[in-house]
Amino acid sequence: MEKIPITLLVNGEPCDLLVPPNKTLLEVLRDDLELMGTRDGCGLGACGACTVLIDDMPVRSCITLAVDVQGLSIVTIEGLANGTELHPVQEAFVEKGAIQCGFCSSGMILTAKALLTSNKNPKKEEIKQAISGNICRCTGYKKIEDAIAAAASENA
Amino acid sequence: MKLREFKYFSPRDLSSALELLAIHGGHAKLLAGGTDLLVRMKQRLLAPDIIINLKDIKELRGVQKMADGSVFIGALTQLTELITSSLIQKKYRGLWEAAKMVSAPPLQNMGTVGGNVAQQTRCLFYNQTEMWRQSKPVCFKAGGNQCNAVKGGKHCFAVYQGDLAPVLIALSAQVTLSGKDDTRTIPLRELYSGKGKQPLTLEDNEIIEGIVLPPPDKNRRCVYKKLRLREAIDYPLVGVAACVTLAVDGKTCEAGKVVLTAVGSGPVIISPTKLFKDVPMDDSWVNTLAEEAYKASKPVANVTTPPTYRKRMARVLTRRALNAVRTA
Ligand SMILES: Cc1cc2nc3c(=O)[nH]c(=O)nc-3n(C[C@H](O)[C@H](O)[C@H](O)COP(=O)(O)OP(=O)(O)OC[C@H]3O[C@@H](n4cnc5c(N)ncnc54)[C@H](O)[C@@H]3O)c2cc1C
Repeated sequence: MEKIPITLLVNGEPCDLLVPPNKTLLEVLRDDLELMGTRDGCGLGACGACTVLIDDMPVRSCITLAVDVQGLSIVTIEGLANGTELHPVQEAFVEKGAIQCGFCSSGMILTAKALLTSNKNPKKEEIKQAISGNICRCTGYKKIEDAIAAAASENA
Repeated sequence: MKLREFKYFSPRDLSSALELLAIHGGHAKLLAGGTDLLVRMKQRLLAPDIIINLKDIKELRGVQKMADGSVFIGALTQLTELITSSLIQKKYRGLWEAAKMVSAPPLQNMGTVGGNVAQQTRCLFYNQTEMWRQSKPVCFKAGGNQCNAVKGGKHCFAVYQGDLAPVLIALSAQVTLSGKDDTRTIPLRELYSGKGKQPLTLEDNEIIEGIVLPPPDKNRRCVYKKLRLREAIDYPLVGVAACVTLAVDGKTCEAGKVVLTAVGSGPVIISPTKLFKDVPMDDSWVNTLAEEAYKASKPVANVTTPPTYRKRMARVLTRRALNAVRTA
């Protein structure tokens, strides 16, 4: 199949790639760029495990074609920490025990980061609304909400 | 889950997209946000040879006030853009409410208005993986000759679950469709055939340009009520849009409609003149319309909750929607 040249800005690094049009962004991130932090969950856009930020907005990478995001800026979970120093949202998740199996964490943390970028001081309802597209099967969401609220007050 | 191979085009303007569509017709599929199409392709419900991406066509994006007071929503406008538009939030409240209830924010960042109105009908026995479907005979929707949801069913009962169409139809919105040689604007209700297998009247060579909303009207009220399993992500099990134009006394209905989704293979419209023209919006009006909604809803056992429950909830949600418009 014909491959199409694209350039993606992944975690601030320009990546030149040659991809077939049927490859999803999720596949490019995990298989070509070996960024395994983005999880392959339901594969059908429902669970939110594959969430990445495109131009600061959370989207599903499992139902995004890589060729469709040519030239755009993509942030994955690997792009949050500054060297060995965790991002404040990651720090808060650890601090509040908002992690059990960890499968949803990449998507949750990125979604929370996007929320805090656009809304420095979200209300509880706004936090719930923001993560409403990310499914967690362990925590019951309470600790995740607490962690995001804590990261917000840290920010303030 | 991998996607099958296809050839990919990403035209920059509508006329190039129409040309591609004219050449490739039935072999091509239009891609907007992909939140309906790519999921179906992953499940091998369809395997188009050609994908025409519409996202690079800038002229089809955005919410615009027209000279005659109407409002044009480009087909490629993302739901998030609709939700953040203050014009939609202030003047078309029901539409704003419905858009906010579509799936969840990350999908609203991807999904478009055109893709929403043109989404396919769904069925618990059809929207499944290839392996899952192999355990049952091929159904009408998949090209076979039986229905796996309704025993002995003589046609496809797949359900239309779009959240925007009921509100848009209740608002008497129109849709602009472009073919290679002409453009037509028709009432949105005419986009739906009511048939499970082939729910849209859109031609193979046509592209939805956008939706035309009637001008804002301070006497018009519109609300949307949705039943779903979780407060997020899920498609409607029943959705009810009610839209009425009030007379100067604020108590009489001059015109209006109730439109339901997820209770049939297309939006179900309730608009008899005798129930909307110069009628007092009293309790008996609410109850009569709720009963009409109950009768017109024909859900079958092809989503996660039983049809009898959904039929009763059509009545409940209609009552809630009408109570909201008359007291707002
Ligand atoms: C987990 C999940 C939950 C969902 N929940 C809901 C829900 O609650 N309510 C709801 O309404 N939807 C829901 N959806 C479906 C979908 O996300 C939305 O309907 C969305 O708005 C579809 O838009 P899109 O741009 O992604 O469509 P696409 O997938 O790109 O397109 C959908 C269809 O429309 C056609 N099409 C797209 N644009 C045009 C055009 N301009 N002209 C002609 N044809 C066109 C495509 O060819 C395709 O057949 C859900 C989807 C998922 C994955």
